[in-house]
Amino acid sequence: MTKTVLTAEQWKLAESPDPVVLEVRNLTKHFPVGGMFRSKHVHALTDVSFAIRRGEVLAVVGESGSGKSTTARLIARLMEPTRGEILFRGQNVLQTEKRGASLSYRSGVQMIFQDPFGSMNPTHSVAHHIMRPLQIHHKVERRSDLLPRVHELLATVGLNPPADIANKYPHELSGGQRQRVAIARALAVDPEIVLADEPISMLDVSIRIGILNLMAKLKKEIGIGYLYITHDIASARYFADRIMVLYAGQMMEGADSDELIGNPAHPYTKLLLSAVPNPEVALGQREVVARGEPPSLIDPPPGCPFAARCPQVMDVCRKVMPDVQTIAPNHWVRCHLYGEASGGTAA
Amino acid sequence: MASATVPTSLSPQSSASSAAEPLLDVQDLSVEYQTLRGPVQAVSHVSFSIGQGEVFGLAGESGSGKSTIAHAIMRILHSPAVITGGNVLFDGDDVLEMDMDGLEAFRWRDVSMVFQSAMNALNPVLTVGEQIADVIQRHQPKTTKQQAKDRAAELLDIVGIDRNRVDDYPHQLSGGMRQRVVIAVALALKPQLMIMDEPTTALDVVVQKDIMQQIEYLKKELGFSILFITHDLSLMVEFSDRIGVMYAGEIVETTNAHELFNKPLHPYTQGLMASFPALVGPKETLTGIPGSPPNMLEPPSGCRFHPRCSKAFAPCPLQQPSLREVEPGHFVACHLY
Repeated sequence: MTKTVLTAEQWKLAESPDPVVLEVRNLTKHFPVGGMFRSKHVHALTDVSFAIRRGEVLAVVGESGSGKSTTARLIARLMEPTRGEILFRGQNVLQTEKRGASLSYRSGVQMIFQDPFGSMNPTHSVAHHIMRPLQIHHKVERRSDLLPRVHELLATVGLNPPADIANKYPHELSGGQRQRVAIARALAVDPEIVLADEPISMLDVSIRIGILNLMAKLKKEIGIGYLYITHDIASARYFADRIMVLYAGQMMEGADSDELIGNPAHPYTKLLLSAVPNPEVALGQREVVARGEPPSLIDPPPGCPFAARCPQVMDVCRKVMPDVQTIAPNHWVRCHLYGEASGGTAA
Repeated sequence: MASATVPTSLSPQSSASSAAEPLLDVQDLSVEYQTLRGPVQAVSHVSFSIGQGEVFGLAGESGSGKSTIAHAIMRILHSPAVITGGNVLFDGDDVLEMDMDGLEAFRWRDVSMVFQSAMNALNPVLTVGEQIADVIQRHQPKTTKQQAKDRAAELLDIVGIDRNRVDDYPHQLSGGMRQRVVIAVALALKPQLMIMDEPTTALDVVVQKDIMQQIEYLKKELGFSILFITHDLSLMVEFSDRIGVMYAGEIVETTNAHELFNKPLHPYTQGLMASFPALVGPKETLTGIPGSPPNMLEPPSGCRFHPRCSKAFAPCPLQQPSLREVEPGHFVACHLY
């Protein structure tokens, strides 16, 4: 298989004093489908590698079916990868915790889900939702410390007055307030990494920025690192330090946020950027970069998954999946347009 | 855009009305939901008009009353929603006064609708061709089965789907293609007005752009008007000619799209503009809008936006501002002006 371990060094992580908290290598998930013999496989995620430092935000952007959520669910260990490594604080947890995630992993890596309506139990109060993780993870010494800690956490996420909010039930809260409770619940166990899977896409537009600003505040003040999963590349630019683009389960391009959006290299990244609504350019005047829709993920042919839609496709693209090419500091791409094979302009 | 030329047979029927008269004129429309906990004023005294070939956008968050207005225009509101006042004039006829026969002719032939997540509304056991043909035969009983099927294929062609897929079932099509089928169904009877309620919200941006460009092309070729409803202000500014911004059941600002984008006057519109991170330009810290949209069972007194407004002053909690023309063609309901 392709060897695309993108190490911390390739991301130039050594330049930062902050330690790498989470690293994944060649993370892959193939789901068996069809028939009694299950001979076919959906290639949901193939050879995805990255690292996240303390207090850093890595955004994963892509369309539906690109493997974004699969990435988060694998790291949260809600399902087991087909292959690959997950290193948390340097430990390969898939080896050391074979039977499922340990308590310490689950407190170190927390997840916030897209749907703040579905991620809470309607029959329990807000206080209950935050007390449970505090109890299970033994985060308070005495029972009498529980409620004060709940109030403290609610105040941290901007839910005031905390004593009132703690007694409410999920249906009494707005979507934005519920998502804040979900963040408080994640914070209860002192995580180092938060996996945020489309945390704002189901919220009213006027309150989305408030949630992103809250997550940015926690990054700055507590040093939480985020895997921020989104289809909204503008919000990724706003919140994330780095952006990685996924397409059909494959890593396509990654760079610092401003670099990726300012100098996109991969034709797919260019397509994605050109599709974002831009009030300053009339719809009809926008450049059409490519059309069509993502390919089927069931036993895909070899080569680049974007080849069928790519306006700059070459013969080699249909045969071989390109390797990672570094084209600028902190900027890599997987595309045959760059690198020796094509005689392209690899920096 | 799509190179296929649109057959003239698909152009909308020429309207008898003069160009100066709006195609759709909504006057002082109010809708109430009669819930067990009391009435909810979902739409309060909303007025707007749409001209021939014009795209009018209704922007606002969930619960602001956008979809309720669309359903009221089509007369498809269900209990407990009740229209409590106002008129909806289509080509001079009051839709709210129409009897069942009148509505039968009005719906789909004059005005069609593309619903939110309509791509899930297709019948899974009928081919897409059958579903398009069904609409044609229902409203034009003299059409033969073969004629209807040919038209269905033609319509698929127009919305950018290979006509050979007329015998496909919905599950054989992608989400974007299913949404195109729904647009084909809406075009089937050459309506003069299409109501599009979040037509691309469930789709990826790349597919969204393709579909919006296709709609824009079809609108130019066929000349229909659009009532476009979305919460995505960027898409709305890009696509609409004029925009009405709704908050808690009321239109708080209305003007042409460019004016609204470059010079929003209402603090709510300004807040909405400050809620979308930009893809280009300097990275600014955005503030969004504090608080949450109001509980419509107990809407705030005075201006419904005042509890969240950073510019609120003495009259705001006391008196409801009315929509006034503060600049030519630019209407705002705010005590600041």
